[in-house]
Amino acid sequence: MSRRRFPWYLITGLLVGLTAALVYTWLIAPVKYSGTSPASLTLAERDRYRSMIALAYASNGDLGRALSRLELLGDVDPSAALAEQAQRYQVGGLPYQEVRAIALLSSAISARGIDFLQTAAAATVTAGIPGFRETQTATYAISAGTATQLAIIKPSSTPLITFTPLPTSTPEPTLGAPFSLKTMEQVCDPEEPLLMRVFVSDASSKGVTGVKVIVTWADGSDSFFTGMYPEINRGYADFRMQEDVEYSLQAGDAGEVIGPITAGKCSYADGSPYWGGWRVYVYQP
Amino acid sequence: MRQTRVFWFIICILIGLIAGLIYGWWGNPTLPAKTNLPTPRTDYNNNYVLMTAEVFRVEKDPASAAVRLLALDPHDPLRPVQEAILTAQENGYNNTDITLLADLASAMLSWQTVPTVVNR
Repeated sequence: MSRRRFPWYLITGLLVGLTAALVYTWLIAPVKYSGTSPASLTLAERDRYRSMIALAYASNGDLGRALSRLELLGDVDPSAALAEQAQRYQVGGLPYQEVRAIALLSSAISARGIDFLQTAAAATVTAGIPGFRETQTATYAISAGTATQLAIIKPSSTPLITFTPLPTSTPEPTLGAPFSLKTMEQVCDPEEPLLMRVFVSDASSKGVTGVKVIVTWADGSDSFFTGMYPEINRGYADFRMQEDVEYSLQAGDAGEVIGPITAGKCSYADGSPYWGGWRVYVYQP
Repeated sequence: MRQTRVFWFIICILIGLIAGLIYGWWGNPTLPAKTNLPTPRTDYNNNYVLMTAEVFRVEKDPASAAVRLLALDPHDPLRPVQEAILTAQENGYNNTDITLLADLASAMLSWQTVPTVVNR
């Protein structure tokens, strides 16, 4: 009685064919993408695109156009994506102008409370960018105080755009009076030890985005910008202090030099010590 | 018997090849994560050029504009601007935008033709 052997050679044949085809399709002749949307760009290229949008916004002040452009990137929360990019760029030491432009756009979007509701059920909006071959669907829910307004841009067969710079409600640094100390207080927060929180506001107590804050100490200095954390405050920035180091702080190039600021000691309920932080409120009189 | 086995072996290789081609090109192609700026649709690229032109209007710095445009064409910053102008005219961009693009094009042209000083 002869036992039929399993036809392993057939499996081998399949595997040989499959392997050869995958090598060919993935390595030798991979799919070439063309005509892709910016949403499919690499992270670095998306950053570059976003950065250009912010710089263009800083140049023309047209928030509507900037929003249309941002929509192409498909970010769930464009404001957060911009804020996160601004932080990365700042850490990476990229030019001040670029970091500030990104932070400003992030702040402008969050200030207007514009939500991207990318749903087909919503109004069809022609992206306000010239030359578009397709329409985008989106609703901009612009909340102004308690009232909510739907801004619907009707699709147009002619891809024209009205180039109207929109006024922005985001307070930006101006050439007004130099920033001065309003008040500062020591904070005991075991969750955030040694943290110097800086709040920069204008005369009407609104947070101001894009203000350069310079922190100096005996053998060094650092600078950063407000507006990176719009979810906290548009004029907020923070700095991690070192123990037993005296710092001085200046908001804006001509601002009042505030200091010395040194991390103080706080204590838990059981008496054990930990390092506290500071809250520094700066304003433009 | 042996010929039959060789026949079915070849058939299996072919089946594997076809299945692999379908999977590799349609089922699970190489990710577009390597897409760089020149690959998006032409109108997106034109939009990038327009943004560069908007920034250039304020900055007036042809070198910075050229660096930005080199992301689209690593050899010639002028070419994407020329393409954008053509597309702008075809698609009926408004005059403000076309003027911006034209200004950028002429700046790129001047920037490229600036004579290089050679120290002898």
